[in-house]
Amino acid sequence: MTTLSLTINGQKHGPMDVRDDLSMNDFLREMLGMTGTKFGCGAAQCLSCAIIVDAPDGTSTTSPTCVAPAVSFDGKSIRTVEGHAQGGQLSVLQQAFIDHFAFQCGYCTAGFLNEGQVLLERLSRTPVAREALEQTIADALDGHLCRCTGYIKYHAAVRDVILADSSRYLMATK
Amino acid sequence: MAGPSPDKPDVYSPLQAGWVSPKKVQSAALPVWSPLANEMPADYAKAAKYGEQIRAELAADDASMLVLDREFETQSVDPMFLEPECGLAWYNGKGGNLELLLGVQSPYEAAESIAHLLGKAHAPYKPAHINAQFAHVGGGFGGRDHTPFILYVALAAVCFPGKPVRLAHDRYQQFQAGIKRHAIKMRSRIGIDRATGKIKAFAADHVLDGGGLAHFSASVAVVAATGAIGIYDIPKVDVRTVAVHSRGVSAGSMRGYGILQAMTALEVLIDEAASELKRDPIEFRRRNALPQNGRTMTGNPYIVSVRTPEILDKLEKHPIWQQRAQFKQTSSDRLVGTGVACVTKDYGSGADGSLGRVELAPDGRIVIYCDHVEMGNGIGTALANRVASHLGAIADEVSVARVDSYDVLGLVTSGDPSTIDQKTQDAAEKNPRWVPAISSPTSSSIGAHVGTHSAAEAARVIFRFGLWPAALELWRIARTDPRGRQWASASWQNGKLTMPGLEPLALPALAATAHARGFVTGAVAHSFSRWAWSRARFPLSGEQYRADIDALAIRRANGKFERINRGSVKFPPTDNNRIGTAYTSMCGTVVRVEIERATGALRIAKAYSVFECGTALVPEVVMGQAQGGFAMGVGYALLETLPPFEGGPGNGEWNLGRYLVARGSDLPLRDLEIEMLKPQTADEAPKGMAEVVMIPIVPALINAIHDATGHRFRALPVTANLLKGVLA
Repeated sequence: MTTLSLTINGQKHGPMDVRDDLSMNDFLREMLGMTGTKFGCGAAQCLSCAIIVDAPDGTSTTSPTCVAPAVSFDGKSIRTVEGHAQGGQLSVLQQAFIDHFAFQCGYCTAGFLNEGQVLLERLSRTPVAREALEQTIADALDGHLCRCTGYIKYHAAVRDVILADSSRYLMATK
Repeated sequence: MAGPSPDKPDVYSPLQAGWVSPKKVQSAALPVWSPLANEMPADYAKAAKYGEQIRAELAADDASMLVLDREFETQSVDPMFLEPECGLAWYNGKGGNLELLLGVQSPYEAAESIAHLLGKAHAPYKPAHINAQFAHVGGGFGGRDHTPFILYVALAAVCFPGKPVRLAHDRYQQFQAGIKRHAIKMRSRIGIDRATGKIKAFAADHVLDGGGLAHFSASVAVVAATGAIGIYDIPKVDVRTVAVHSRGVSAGSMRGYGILQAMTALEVLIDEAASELKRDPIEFRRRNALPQNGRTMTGNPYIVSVRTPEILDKLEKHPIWQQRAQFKQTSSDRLVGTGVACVTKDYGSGADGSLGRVELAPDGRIVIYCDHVEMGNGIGTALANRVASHLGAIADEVSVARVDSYDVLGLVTSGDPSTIDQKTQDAAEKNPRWVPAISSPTSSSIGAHVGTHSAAEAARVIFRFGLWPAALELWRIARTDPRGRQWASASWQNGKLTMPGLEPLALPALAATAHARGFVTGAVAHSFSRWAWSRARFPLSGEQYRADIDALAIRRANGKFERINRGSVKFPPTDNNRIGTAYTSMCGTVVRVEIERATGALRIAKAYSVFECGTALVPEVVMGQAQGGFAMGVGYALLETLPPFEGGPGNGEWNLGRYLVARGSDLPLRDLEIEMLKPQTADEAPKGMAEVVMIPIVPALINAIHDATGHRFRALPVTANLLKGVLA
């Protein structure tokens, strides 16, 4: 057993004792009842289990939870799908997913949402040129598997959020 | 076997003579279909004689005919829905209740199967009552239809009374035990008159690997056989099919079953035939396409739109096709080719039950209950939209996968709706509670057509006997006024019921009046489709109401639901079981591929799919299905495969690291154009489309690869390694 403390969606959890071999996915779903994070393959291949890890320097990345031990998140700050909406208000990207009918069965959606959110935040810090946008979105989302949608509407939703606020996410045109 | 001309009756067809089988399995791996015809029943001998005649014509040395004799082989693949199968259960033991939470495509069947499983159990393993609840599921694609997994959940619970049970596959186990798509070996012979370019005869032999469990193999075999001639009008056709048991992984229901395999083989063959005849591939398809009202292989015409010519025209005019010569490259480091295919896919199983319940509250709140399952197919949204067409507003709550909301109908059933004879059906229907089938799995692309039907009919009853009389009161129109029967002239506009010259009425006002006056505010309905809906009349508010339903219960104001006894019920005739399919949708695709000679890496440069679906209940959902279907087709054509025996998923070592499904980077996300044809008429019924949209990309890709490389692949998938091999 190892003592685990972490911050999830801005809320501190722990310290609590967890088994060393407890996956982060089981920790979230079984111990905390946060079932928005899904389990797809257990091998970090589909990323339906991906969450956001916020680094102290203000940057963020996504991480699979199915192959990662819960204890590896000790001291970290993470965000899950449950943390996107604030005060009952959907995030801009969540609303875009709905407006685009981006998801079908919804099982991969939390992973796409987290990845898309990390991309938005990265672009707000480091904008890209408009001509690089399509490839940037494709590269960001390509690790995530979806069996229902054919991906087009996910990409379109992310693109439209960026283009709707282009001065924030894209380099200024000369 | 068609008559001498299209206007003459068929010489022989399953519609006339019924379906035949050898009814005798020799001591060999496969049934012997033809040589023993004389020893077989007369109906079989008759069919076999015509079959042999067709095969003899194809085998004859006739210089006026182009005859191609080709084999094609498809692979075993996994539905790979993203949520592995799982279930929760609790049994308190000692003959108490068994509580289950399951995720399937066939909730009614699942509940019945578990009851069957435990029906003869002895105490303390026999529950007094089984309460199965069904959840939304993370994808299905057929793999959760009649799944055996739920039986293990129930067994685990009764074996561990007093303990909560959770049974959940991990991905390795899902690959190991989940239902797969049938691998099929097909041999096809096609005969074409060289002078006219008309297909004269076709014969095929299919062998399906059903694996270890008898799942839907027999149905898949039949569907593949009836799909063997695709969109074409061929006067002489003989198809023999057999599904075999093997020690491979169990195969069964999966999206587009049978048709995907058969039509891929056919469209690749058609492409080769056009090439041999030096005819344009699209013109050749158009020349041989089955026209509207033409007879299908089983002798019946489709009873829905057949828009093949329109689809072929659109494919032909599309820039991808128009520019194929301009882009073609066969000699450089990067090869470029263009392919086309056009297919048809049935929807509905030919024996589909539909259940629906709609309730309207005094404030206009609408609640819908349905037995179909939400698994990404959009049934919830489709139900809400279809009911809204009658009640004027999107439902506030849609409860899907419900098997417990229609008890008031007291339905009973017996026999097999697909094999029952007319006399037995006639006798059974005398029981006013009897229907040929109570519920259907969410499968066979029936969501739009069947899944929403009974809820829509229930809503129609609420409108007709609840909201309409309420409107008359609010408009102060007497029932004896001729306008009192002009409900068909009323329409919903911006949430208000409108009639020319009258004040528009909002739904809450109508609902409040309907409740206050004791009009109909809720309805439960059932119907059955065997290529036509059942129909009956019901005494309601002093009139005989006729509708495409066979059972009805209504609620007045906030009262209890009460069953309305039906009269003059007409179930579709049992002879309709001889129809292969009467409902179908068409889809065509053109695709341009680029292949790196050195690596065999294939990139889909551009693609265009066009399909028909009648009235789209939710266009956004329909387009999503089309995009997802395209992706699944690409995976099937180029990526996905499972070895059937040793080294296959049965070994428990398969996961997504080695089983490759299409990712965004495998697809032309910015270069895929999909066109949904508008309905032919404003009231055209919705048609199933979630399977057909997956199919043509597969043969179109194989044909494009041939165009680029000169090599015709006759097995799937065509991987980069295989491409590299033929380009070396």
